[in-house]
Parts: sequence; C-alpha cells; structure tokens
Amino acid sequence: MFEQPVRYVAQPPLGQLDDSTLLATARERAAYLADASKQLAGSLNPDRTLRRALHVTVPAVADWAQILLPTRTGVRYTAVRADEPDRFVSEEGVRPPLGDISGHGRILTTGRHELMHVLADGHVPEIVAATVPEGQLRDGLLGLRPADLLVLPLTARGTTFGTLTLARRAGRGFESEDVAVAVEITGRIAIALDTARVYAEQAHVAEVLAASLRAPELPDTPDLAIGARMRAAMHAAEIGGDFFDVFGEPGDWSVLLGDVAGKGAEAAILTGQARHTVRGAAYYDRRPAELLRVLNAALFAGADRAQPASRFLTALSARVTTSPDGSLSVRIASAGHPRPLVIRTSGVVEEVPVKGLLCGALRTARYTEVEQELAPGDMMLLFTDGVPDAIGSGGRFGLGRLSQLAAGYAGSGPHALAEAVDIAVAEYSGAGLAPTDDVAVLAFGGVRQ
Amino acid sequence: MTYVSDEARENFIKALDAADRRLAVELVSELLDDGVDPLDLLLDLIAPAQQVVGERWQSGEYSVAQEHAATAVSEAAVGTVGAWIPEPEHPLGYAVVACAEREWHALAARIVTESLRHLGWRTTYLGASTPAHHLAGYLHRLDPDVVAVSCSMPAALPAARRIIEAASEAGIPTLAGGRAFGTGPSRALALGASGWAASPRDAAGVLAELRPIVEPVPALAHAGADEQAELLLRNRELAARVLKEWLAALEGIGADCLAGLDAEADYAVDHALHALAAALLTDDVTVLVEGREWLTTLLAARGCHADAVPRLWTVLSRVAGSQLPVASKLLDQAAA
Repeated sequence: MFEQPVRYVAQPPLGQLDDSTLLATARERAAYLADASKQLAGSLNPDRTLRRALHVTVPAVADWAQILLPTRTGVRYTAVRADEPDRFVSEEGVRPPLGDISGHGRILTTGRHELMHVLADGHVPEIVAATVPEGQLRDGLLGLRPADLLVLPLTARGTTFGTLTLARRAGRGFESEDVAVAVEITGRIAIALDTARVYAEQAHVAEVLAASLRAPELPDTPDLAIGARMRAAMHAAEIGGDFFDVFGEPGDWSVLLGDVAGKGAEAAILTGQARHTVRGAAYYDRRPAELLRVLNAALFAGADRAQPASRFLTALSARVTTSPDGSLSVRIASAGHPRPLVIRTSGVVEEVPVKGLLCGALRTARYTEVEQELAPGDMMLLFTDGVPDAIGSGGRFGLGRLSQLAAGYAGSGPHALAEAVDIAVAEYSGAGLAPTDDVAVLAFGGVRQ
Repeated sequence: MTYVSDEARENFIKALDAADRRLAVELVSELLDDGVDPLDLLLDLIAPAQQVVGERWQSGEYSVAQEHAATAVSEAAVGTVGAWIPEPEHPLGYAVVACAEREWHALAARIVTESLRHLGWRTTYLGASTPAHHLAGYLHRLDPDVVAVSCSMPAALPAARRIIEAASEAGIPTLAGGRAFGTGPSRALALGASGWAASPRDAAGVLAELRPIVEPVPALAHAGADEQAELLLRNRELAARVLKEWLAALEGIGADCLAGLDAEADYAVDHALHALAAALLTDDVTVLVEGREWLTTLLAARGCHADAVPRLWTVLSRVAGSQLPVASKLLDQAAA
C-alpha cells in the first residue's frame, strides 16, 4: 500500500522554485480545476455527484477524503482512500451539534476551514475521533497513518450544509498552496452538490405528478389484441396532451383515444380529467356517444354564458364487442377527431365515416355512433393528429402516407401496426429532434378464442 | 437441467411464421414450467429465432410487415420470460438498457434487460430509439451503475456514441453490445464505451470489471470523425445524388432490377452511407465490409444484377469520396 510516492496536483518538485516550474504548476492547477468542474457539473444526481466529488479529490489533492452530508434523519459520512479509489464506504451518524468546540459542528457553525495536525496522542488521535466515525471509516483513515487533516465547509448559496475532510500522510502535509487548491475545489463541490439536491427535490415532485398523468397500462384483454404507442412532445416527462384508455370486460371493451388542445403539463392535467370523467360516466352508461356527451358537458362545468369552456379536446369513443371467431363489432363516436382507419386483411384501407363536434365547443353537443364490422384479421387504427401533421422533408406526413403504410401491414397484427406507424412518424420527423406534437396510436383487432 | 430442444426451436419459429402470439407465449410458458432456464430461452430460443426472421426478411421471404408481426410475437415471448424472472433481492448493481436513437430493433435490448435481471442485476429498459438528451434526464433521476447500449444497425452507431458521451459526462460507465459493434471490442472502445460484451452471458463478467465512476470521454479527433460530421451534414444531398447516379449506372448495364423497387433502392443507398459514416467514426473498415456484404445478399435476393453493388461503390467513391480522403480510402479497402 502506497509504495509509489504520489505527487499531488500542482505540487512543485522539492526545491525547484524557478519561474518555469511555477508556471507549469499554475497551469496544472488550472487544468485540474477545469477538469474537476466539468466532472462535478456532469450529473444532477446527488449520489453520483457525491461520489464524483470524492473521485476528483482523491488522489489529486489528498490520500483520503470524507464528505459529511445531512440526511432526513441525521448525517451520512462517505469516504474513499487513494489505494482503493473505487470503494466508497458509507456510514450513517447523528447530526453533529452546531457550536461544538471541535469536529464538524464547529466547521458547520463557522463555515471556515481548519487544518489540524494529527498528534500521536494515544490509540486514536483526538482530532480523528472528533471528525471520523468509529468503524470502517476510522479504521480506513488510521490505516494510512495520517499526518494532516483538513476539514473544509461545503458552503453554497449562503448555507454551510456539510463538510469535506481531507487527509494526507506523514511527510506530505498541506502547504498553504495546497490549502488554497483544496478551498477552491471544495467551493465547486459544494455548488454541484447543492444544485443536484435542488434538482432532485424538484424532479421528485415532477415525477410523482407525471406518473399520474402518463398513459395507463393497458388491461389484459385476451379476446382483443391491442397495440398502442405514445410519444410526447415534452419528451423527458413523457406526458402530453394525447391520451388513450381501455376498460370493460371480456366480450365487451371500451376504447378511448383523444387529444387535448395544447401540450406539456397543462394539457396532461386535462387528459387525466378526461380519462377519469369517461371512466366515471361509463359506470352508468357505456354507449360511446353518451360517454362523449358527458365528457363535453364536464368541460362546461363551472362555465357560464359569458365565459364558455376555455378548453377543447377531440376524442374517439368506441365500444367493441368480440366474438369467439375473432370478428368484432364496433360502435364508434367522434368528437371532432381524425377519422379512424379500418385495415382489411386484403390490404384494403377504409376510413370510418364518423364525425361530431369537438368537446368544449357547444354545451349541448350531441354525438352519433357509427357501426363497423371487422372480420377476423381486420384491424382498426385510431390516431391523433400528430400522425398526419408530422412535418418532414416532404411536407406533412399526411393521410395518404398513413393509409399506404397501414395497407402494407394488413394482417400483421395490431402490435406490429402501431409500432410501424410510430416508427414511420418518428423517422419522418427526423432524428435528434423531439417531436413537435404529441403522437398517439392505438390499433386493435379480434383474437380467435 | 432441461435445455432448449430442436423441436422447441422449430415450434417457436412456426409460431413466429404464423404471427401466432398465443402459440409462442404458450410454448415459452410450457418450457418455463418444464424447468428450462429463462436465460436459455432468451438466448437459445428467442434470439436465434429472431435472427431467422431477420434473414428471411433479408432474403425477401418475409415482407417488412411479416417481419414486424413476427418480431411483435417474439416481444410477447420475451415479456412472458421476463414476468417469470423475479426481481433480484440483493442486486449486483443497477443497469439502464438503452437503444441508440434511430435504433428501432428493440428486441435485442429487451433480451439484454431480462438476461441481466436473471443474472442478478436490477434493470430499467428504456425502449427503442432513445435520444441522448432523453437518456440524460433518466440518468439524473435513476443514477444507474452502468448504461448498456444496444446497437444492431450501423446507422445507429453515431447515436450510440452520443449515448456514451451522455453517460460518461454523468460519470456512468457504458457497456456496448449488439451486432453493429461487431465481433470484438474494438468498435465499442473506439467510440469510448467502457466495455463490450459479445452476449448477455458474457456481460456479467464485463460488468463486474467496470469502474464505478468514469471520466467524460474526450472528443473524437481523428480525421475520420471530421469526415463523418461532414457526411452527416450533407447526408440528404449525397443520398439523392448517389441514388440518381446509381440508378443511371444500372440502366447503363441493362440492369434495371430496382425499377419499381423505390423503397429498396432508397434503403440500399441509405444503408451504404450509414455504413460509411459508422466506419469513419469507428475508424474500422470492417463496418463497411459487413455493410457491403449485407447489401449484396439483400439485392441478390431481390433478383438484382451481380454488378449492382460494385456499381453503387463506384458511385459512392465518386460522389462521397471525392472530397473525403479517409472515406475514399475506406471505400477502396472495403471493395478489395
């Protein structure tokens, strides 16, 4: 262990203090800080950033480093040693009382770093006992016979929230230049840790909300094969203004697919309300036109003559009756939504002639149903306007391209069809860019029992 | 110990051939009940069958739609095996499995995901075609120990490099795998991956060797990388010119085999350019050699003149190679 003499960053060779050596040292120090900063900024995950903070300090500026950070219930110490740079050891502890005369409480209170020389005063030096918890961490430190301990405050945005403790072995203590480098890197570590903490808190809230707005898991429908794909313009959160839902029971399924005006979180909230409204209404009456009537009326709840519904959505509502031979009987109603397609096994593609007023336009809107029979192997394809309206080098994707594509997938099954449409639209819009509009595709067909 | 029998293999391929989801799922369920190891099912039953599907498409036996239908059935079978594998109680680590952008062949990545889980890793599968900025968002949130990137088409190798950049910037090591990375680690390492595995079976050993924290990969500075950027920038224009001149050259030798096969012709040119770009980026001529072989099989199966691919090469050298010296050299080497 430690047989090779390690040279720390920006430590001039002993006795060489000529100009060129000093210049080289300054350059090396600047390069180290630049590289470390880049690494520290690369992740917004608190745990990853913590480990990287230790990674950039050991062995560059110390033989051992420990970071103390608050947790919900106390503190956590995490340390690494130069001879085992991949082994991060953690230990939980109690929060050091602020205003302590020694140890971390002191640094957390004053926000000032302190350099301490480890005296061989007994079995465990007092300084070590005050700063490093008993067990693996302390044993790890004592094993390298530390000469100096430098405890630095992690201060960012006006708060000292933790500490960084650095140790060096005998004969290799911290010179004042070394302390300056340590202070500099500690400042950057503190900012990175604090940024990651803030991001994680915000991301957690966003994630919990997004999870409730995301497309639902499709139920198990043994008699109905369903392929569904959704791509949100607001990519990372996977939420958007398109929605679909499938519910019911074997033999009799309800399928809903729709598109709320707008994008992102605001639109997603309305999609959640729409799905819940329809599910609630279906409890009493599952006729497709009736579900759209209730959905429309719900958008006017709270609105009055002077202030009409401020939100609009289009939707398709279908009720699918399955037969053991794999044929389907579909009753479908539309609220201003692009017409679905039926893809016959022969490759013939038909538009389903269903129409109706979009929801939110007229309080008293009425919806009509169209009946459509699907033979075994036939499929129905529901999609939002993000599909035909996708923009690529040849202009809009368009219904022509969609019909042609769908015809090629006749008989291949709803999963393959939905996937093919999703891929075609994404490829058409071009790689590297998030889609400009939300895209939802849902295809279904009967299953022979 | 029960192994996957030839009979099971045949039956599974029959299920794919008939696009019979239920038959495939039943077959896999029965084998699981009989005590066949889930890893064997994934790697010795489903993966090879899927390879047959790919070959059948390449040879013209399957249409694109049939290939997709068969793949959807394989997906369902992988899902069944996946549902069988329990979450590891004391995971060896946490892996996020991603397909590079424009990589739509997601089945391999799903197989990797379930295999790693069976080998004791906690896994998250991100689906087909994951853009790097999307991945970065996941990494902040999930902080995996490794990002496994799957790549089956050379067209996706440049995007795989982006995944590697995104992960390493976050300090996370990457494991590369899939057909497009070839049969050795050189391409993966050229792109900056931390490790490469020939199959999920080998992945466990490679994963155990990875460093927990990696440093951001340096920018690719070789001349080929510069030319790849140029190729990317001018892709549309080059593709159009190559296609036009190639079709003219074919007509000149009386081989209008691609008449009426617009999609195939487009596809062939696209594939050749992507293979060239990937060869430039990885500084590896074998990517281009494989691309050329692949195209030769594809076009031969569609009744094309034996000179179709050599003519395409001549056009490529003239159009793309004239201003790009490294590309020109690679094209010559791949034709030799």
